[in-house]
Amino acid sequence: MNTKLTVDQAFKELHESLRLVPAERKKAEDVHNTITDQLRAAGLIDGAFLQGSFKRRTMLAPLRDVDKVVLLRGEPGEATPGTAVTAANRIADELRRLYPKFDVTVGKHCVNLDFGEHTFAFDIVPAYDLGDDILIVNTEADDWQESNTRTLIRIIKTRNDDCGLDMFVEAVRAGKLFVRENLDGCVPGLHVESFAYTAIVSEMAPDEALQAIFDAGVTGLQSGGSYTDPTGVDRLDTRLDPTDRQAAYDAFLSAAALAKQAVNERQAGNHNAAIAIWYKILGSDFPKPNEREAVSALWEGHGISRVVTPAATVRAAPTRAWRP
Amino acid sequence: MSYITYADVVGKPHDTCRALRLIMPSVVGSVVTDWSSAVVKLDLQLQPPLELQAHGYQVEQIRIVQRRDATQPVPEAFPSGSARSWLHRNPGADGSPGGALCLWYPEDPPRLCWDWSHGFERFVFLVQRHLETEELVRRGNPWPVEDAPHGHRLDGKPHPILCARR
Repeated sequence: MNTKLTVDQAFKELHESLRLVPAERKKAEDVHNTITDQLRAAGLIDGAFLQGSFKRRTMLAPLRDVDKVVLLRGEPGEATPGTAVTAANRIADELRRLYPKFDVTVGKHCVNLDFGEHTFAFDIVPAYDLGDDILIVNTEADDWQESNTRTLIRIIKTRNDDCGLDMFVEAVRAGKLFVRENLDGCVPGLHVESFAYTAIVSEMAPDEALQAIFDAGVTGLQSGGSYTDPTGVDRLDTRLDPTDRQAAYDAFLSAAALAKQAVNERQAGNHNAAIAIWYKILGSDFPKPNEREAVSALWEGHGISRVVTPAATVRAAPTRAWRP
Repeated sequence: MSYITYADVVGKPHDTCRALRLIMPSVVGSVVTDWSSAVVKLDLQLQPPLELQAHGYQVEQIRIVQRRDATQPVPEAFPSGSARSWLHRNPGADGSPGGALCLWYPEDPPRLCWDWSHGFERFVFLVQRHLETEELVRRGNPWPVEDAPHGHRLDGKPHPILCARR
């Protein structure tokens, strides 16, 4: 690949590759509607809505887990201790009847309907509607707990609208890619959304937005730091295993330093060098720097170590290579 | 401004190795392999810039040889590693392709050549630039700047410089 790209163009390519395929997204939405209609027809639910990163549009391709809430028929007053498991099993049994060829399992907060490893699965959360918040099952405690998932959906959408042209959700996806590539996903996606929500409040250049996410991650993950989910209700930092937290802090710190350098390179007009740094941070989903341009730059007065150590550049005059 | 002089290289080669690693972070390994009254040999490991690491360019091993007599006033650079094709490399003494890299055309004006007044670190830079460019050529690309035709002209004159900006 020897296409010359600017940093903006490279991020645009990245964001395209991380976006869910529209047809796949539409298919998942259609299945969601079908399941809703079927459970409603069975008399089990009054309605349903999508939630999670799929709904918030912060999910990384490829599509896998789709989260939905099913609003159980009845009154929230029925959500008493000792009824959550029964409620989840009632949904699971109906799904097994409707989809006998697919796996249906009951988890802590949801019923999972898996259409196979090569396509998507639904995490279906049985809940009672409280108006805006909901009461969701906790099958381990056989009880119910409040969730403000609608608030979360709403504030992420508002922030994304404020930042314009999906810049916010695209930055979140890039941040999640960093976690996937460098931390084996040990930092859940909602944590990255939290860093982004703290750091990005208006439109920014895509590289500066990702740099801001790394900086916010460093602040939150450092010893003594804390952070909540974007709604400000649930504290997230305490949910990380201490070893994972330290690894995440180290990785975010390193990425923040590299990102700063990449932004400086881009601002100085050295797009290829900046792209090389982003490629190092984000891995092979990011476009590669231009190979020929990189070698040519060595002949045009750029130092060999300019990318990693700007202050220690050694340059040399052009020469004509020869052979007797 | 040059940092590393001829006196440094032949008189304090170990300090030279340390200085190279400080001045040039692309020098990721440096060791003195011979230091005698006749010759100094330094083995260097040169890491490609990030832009080229992304394309799989590997750390290059190079031996730099500086003789301490008047027959060789400038260092020579001998790449090591597996047999590879080279566009600009002198033949060895026995005619094999294992000679030093041909880093500049000796008949060119001084501004297009290296000498000790430029500093040894710039020589190392020339070597690495040459190595990365040879790899680019191996991958099917042309040499990205003007090079001199191989061999000598029959009329004994230097090969003309074609590039107008020079």
